[in-house]
Amino acid sequence: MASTALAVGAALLCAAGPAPVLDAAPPPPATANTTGLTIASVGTATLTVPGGGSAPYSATSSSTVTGKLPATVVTDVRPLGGAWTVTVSANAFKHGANPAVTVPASAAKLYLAGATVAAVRTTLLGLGSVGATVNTATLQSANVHLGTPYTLLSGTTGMLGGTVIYEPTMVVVVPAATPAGTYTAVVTQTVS
Amino acid sequence: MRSTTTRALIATLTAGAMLAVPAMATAADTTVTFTVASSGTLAIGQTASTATLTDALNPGNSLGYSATLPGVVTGSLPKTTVTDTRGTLAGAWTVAVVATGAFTNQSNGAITIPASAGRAYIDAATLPAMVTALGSDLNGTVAVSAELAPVGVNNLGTSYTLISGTTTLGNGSAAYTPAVSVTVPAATPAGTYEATVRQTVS
Repeated sequence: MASTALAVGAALLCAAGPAPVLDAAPPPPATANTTGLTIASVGTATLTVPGGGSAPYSATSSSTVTGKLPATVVTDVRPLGGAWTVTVSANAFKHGANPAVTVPASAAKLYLAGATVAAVRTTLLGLGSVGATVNTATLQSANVHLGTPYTLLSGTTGMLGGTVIYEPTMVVVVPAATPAGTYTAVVTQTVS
Repeated sequence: MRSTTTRALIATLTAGAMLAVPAMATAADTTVTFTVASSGTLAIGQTASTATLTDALNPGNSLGYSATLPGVVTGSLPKTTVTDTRGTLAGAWTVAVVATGAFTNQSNGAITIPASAGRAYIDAATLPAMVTALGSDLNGTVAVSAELAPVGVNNLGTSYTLISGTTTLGNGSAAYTPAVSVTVPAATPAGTYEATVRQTVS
């Protein structure tokens, strides 16, 4: 209840109109209003070969590791809602014992699997509505990889705000002759 | 009244939790890890299984009998290759060499030249060129140390390190051709003598 009363008060203050202009300074350049638009993901992820476990070393063959990132939450409480986009990128995977040995970020992809896509449409307290769409190009295109930022997900939030929760899947094609060891990278998801 | 109070309290707690949850950030970082496990092998191979030693002073010929002076026969073991596909970032390996028994006269097994009369070693002049790397993108490179002539003091009577190295970046190989010499004692009866020289990588 207290939260609701404050919200009404804020609305009344806004309705009172702009403050008087005291000088002729030009207005600041227009920018996208991202206040109230946030993204959060807590935890780490470990990728494995299908069935679990480490990728076996091979001098001649690549191998694939995959796994889910922790649930990511996009929360939009902008007063008027609006469109938003989640962009993803990563740095190279670095060997734990010798950071000079890397697997490039271009070997990795982040995407939303089919089952996860169905879960992205949610509402905040059942009041707002979010229409989220998946960038299907990330599922199909061989040219999309985490070496270059790309759009993972985009959506539009209604006037009463909304939240989207999704679990991205990550896949890395480990090149042949990648030395044994543990490799770590940081994946960044940015909402705007 | 009791029921109403409870509902109001729950509503307040829920609203408070909602306010606390959002991390006010427009970017979220996730640390992602995977592991590549060593799964290859460390192997050693030769291009042949025999070698013939000849007179060091008269290469290509048999050593002449001498009742009073020792002689030396020399030659090369077959080209040997150590192949490391273990995938380790810095995989050390060692080749040990030893003769499995004495040099034995092929007509009379009771006549022998002790294994300690023999030496296997790497020609220092050829060492830089004998190390090669395999692979394409992440080549293995091999740094070596070796039993060199005339520095080395070991003999084939006891196992010793002929060559050792470290394979980096996953896989690599080292190819070399060991030299062998045997000091034949004076008054060693004429005949053909044979021994087995074994190289083991670990």
